[in-house]
Amino acid sequence: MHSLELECQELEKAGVVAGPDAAQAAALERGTIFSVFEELRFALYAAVAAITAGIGLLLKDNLDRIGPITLIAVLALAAAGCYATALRTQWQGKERSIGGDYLLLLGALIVSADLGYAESQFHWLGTEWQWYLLILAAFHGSTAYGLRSRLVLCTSIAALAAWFGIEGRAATLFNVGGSAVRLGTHAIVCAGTLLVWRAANRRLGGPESFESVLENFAANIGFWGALALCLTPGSRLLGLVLLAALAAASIFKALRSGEEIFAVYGTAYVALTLCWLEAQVINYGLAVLLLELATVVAGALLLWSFHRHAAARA
Amino acid sequence: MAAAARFKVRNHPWITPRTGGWSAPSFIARCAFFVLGVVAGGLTTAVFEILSRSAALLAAGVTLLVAAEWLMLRKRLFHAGVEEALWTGGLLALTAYFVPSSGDRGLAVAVALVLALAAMRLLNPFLLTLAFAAASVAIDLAGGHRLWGEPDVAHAAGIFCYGAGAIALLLARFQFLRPSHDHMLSWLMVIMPLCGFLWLATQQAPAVRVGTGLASGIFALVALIVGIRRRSHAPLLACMAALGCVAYQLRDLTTLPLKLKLIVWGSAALLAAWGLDRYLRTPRRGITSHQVGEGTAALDLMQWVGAGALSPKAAPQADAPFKGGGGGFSGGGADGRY
Repeated sequence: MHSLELECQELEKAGVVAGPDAAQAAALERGTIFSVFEELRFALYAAVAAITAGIGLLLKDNLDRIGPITLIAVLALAAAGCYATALRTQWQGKERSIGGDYLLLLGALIVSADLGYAESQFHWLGTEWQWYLLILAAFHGSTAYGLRSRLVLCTSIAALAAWFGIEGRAATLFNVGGSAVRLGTHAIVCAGTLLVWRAANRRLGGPESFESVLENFAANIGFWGALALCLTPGSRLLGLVLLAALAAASIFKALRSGEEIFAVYGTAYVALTLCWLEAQVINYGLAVLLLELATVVAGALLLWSFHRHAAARA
Repeated sequence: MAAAARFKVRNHPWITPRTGGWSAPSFIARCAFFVLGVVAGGLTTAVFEILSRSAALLAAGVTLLVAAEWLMLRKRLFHAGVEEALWTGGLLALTAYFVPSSGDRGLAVAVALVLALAAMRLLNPFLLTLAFAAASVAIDLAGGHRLWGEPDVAHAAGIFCYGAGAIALLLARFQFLRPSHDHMLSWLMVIMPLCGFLWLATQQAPAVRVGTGLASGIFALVALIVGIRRRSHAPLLACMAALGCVAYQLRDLTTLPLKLKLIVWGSAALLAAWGLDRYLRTPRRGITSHQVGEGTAALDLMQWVGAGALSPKAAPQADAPFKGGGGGFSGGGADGRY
C-alpha cells in the first residue's frame, strides 16, 4: 500500500498546510485513525433505498387484507419513530450522526409515501390531488429547517419539483411535440423558485449549508428545462436564450466562488445541448460534424480556462 | 500531486514548480472532460468516415492518439479526462481497423490488450478494470460460448474474475511507487468479484448458486479482515459488494414476498449500520464513524441526488382523473405514476 505520510510532513515543513491538518493526514496514512464514514453512508443509503422500495411495492398492492387505515397508521407510527430519534438528539443538544441523518431521511420518505397513499385512498383534495405534493414540500422544508437536515431538504425539493411536473426521467425530454415544452417551462419556473428560496434562506439567516443544495438543484433543473426547450422546434429560440443566461450565471458563480461544479454545468450542458441542436437544424453531414466538433472543443477549452483561472487565483 | 490534492493545495505556488508543470483538474471536472473527450473522439471518427470511408478508423485513430499525446507531453495533462478519452478512443479505433471483426474472440483479446495498454500509459484504474472484464469475455468466447443466450455455465470466465479480485486483494499489501497503482488494485478487488458473480448469477443450478454464494461469502469475509487490518477502504467496499451478491443468492431462503423481503432486510441493514455508527462514535483501535477531514464534493452531490431520487414523484392515483394540459403551475404536470 502506498503511503503519503512523508509528503504530508514535507508539506507541513514548507508551511503549505497547517500543522494539525498535516498531523491528521499523516495519522490517516499510518492508519492510526481510520474513518468508515463513507462506507456507512453507502450502507445506510442502500438500506433506506431497499426499505423505500419495499414500502412502495406494499402500497402499490393496496393490501386489502390489512386495510388502508391500519396501513396508514402503521406507516405514520414508523415515521414518528424515525422523527422521534432526531428530535431526541436535537433536544439533548448533540450533533446528529450519519446514522441519525439517514433514519430521519427514512422517516421523511415514509411520510411522503404515507401521505400519497392516504390521498389516493380518501381523495381529500379531489381533482386537485397534486397539491399534496406542495403540502409535502412545505412539510419536509419546515422539518429540514427545524432539524437542520440537508437530506430532508432534498426530499422537499424533489416534492416541489414533482408538483411542477418534473419527474427526473430523461425520456420525457425527447418527447418532441408532446410534453417537452411544458416540462421545460415548468423546470425553468421551478429553478427560479429554488433561487428565490435560496435568497430567502440567505436573507433570513437560514443554514449556510442549505445554499449549495438549493443552488445545485436549481442549476440542474434549470439546465434540463432549457435543454427541453432547445430540443423542441417551436421553442428553440427561447430555449437558447435561457441556456445562455443560465450558462452565464453558472460560470459567473463559478468564477466568484471558485466552485468548479458550476463551471462544469455552464460548459458541459451548453456544449452537449448545442451539439444536439446543430444536429437537428443543419442538414449537411460534414458541416454539422465539424461544427459539433468545434463546439465540443470550445466547451473543453472554456472549462480548462476556468481551471487555469482558478489555479492562478489560488 | 496526490498529497497536494488531498489538502486542496494543488495550485499552491510551492507545489507548482515541484510537479514538473503537470496539472490535473478535480474529479468532477475530470468526468466532464472525459465525456467531452468521448464526444470529440466520436465526432472525429464520423468526420473521417465521411472524408474517407476505407481508412476512416486508421486516420481517426492516429489523429486521436496524436492529439492525446500532445495534450500529455506538451500541455502536461495528467488524469484530466480528455486525454484519457482520446488516447483510449484512438487505440480502440486502430484495433477496430486492424483486427478483423469476424473473429469475436480475437477482437475481445485485442480490446482487452488495448485497454490494458491504455490503462498502463494513463495510469487509469477504470480502464484496467475494463481490460480485465474484456479478458473474461475473451475467455468465455474461447470456451465456445456466445455472449448471450447460452444455457451452459461460464465457469472459466467467472473463476478468472474471482481470481483476479483475490489476487488484487493479495497484491495490495505490497508498497507501490505510485498511488495510481494502489487505485488499480482497489478497482480490481471491488469490481472483478462482482463481474465473476454476474457471469454465474443467471444460472439457476443449485450447485452454481451455492458455489457463487460461498465464493462471494468467503471473499467478503477475507476482504473485511484485510480491510480492517490494513485500514483500507477498498477491501471494505469489496466486502459490501460481495455481501450484496450473497444476499441475492439467499433470496429464496424465505417464502416472504419481495416487498416484505426488501423491508425486513433493509431494516436489518439499517439497524446494523446505525448500531455500528453508534458503536464507532468513540474510536475503537483508531476506527471511527466520524468524518475525518473535509468531505468530497462529488460524494455529497451524489448523496443529495440519491435522496431526491428516492422521493415519490406522485401519488398512486387509481381513480383521480389526470389533469391534462398541466393546469398552470399548480402541479398539473404530475402524472399520477408512483
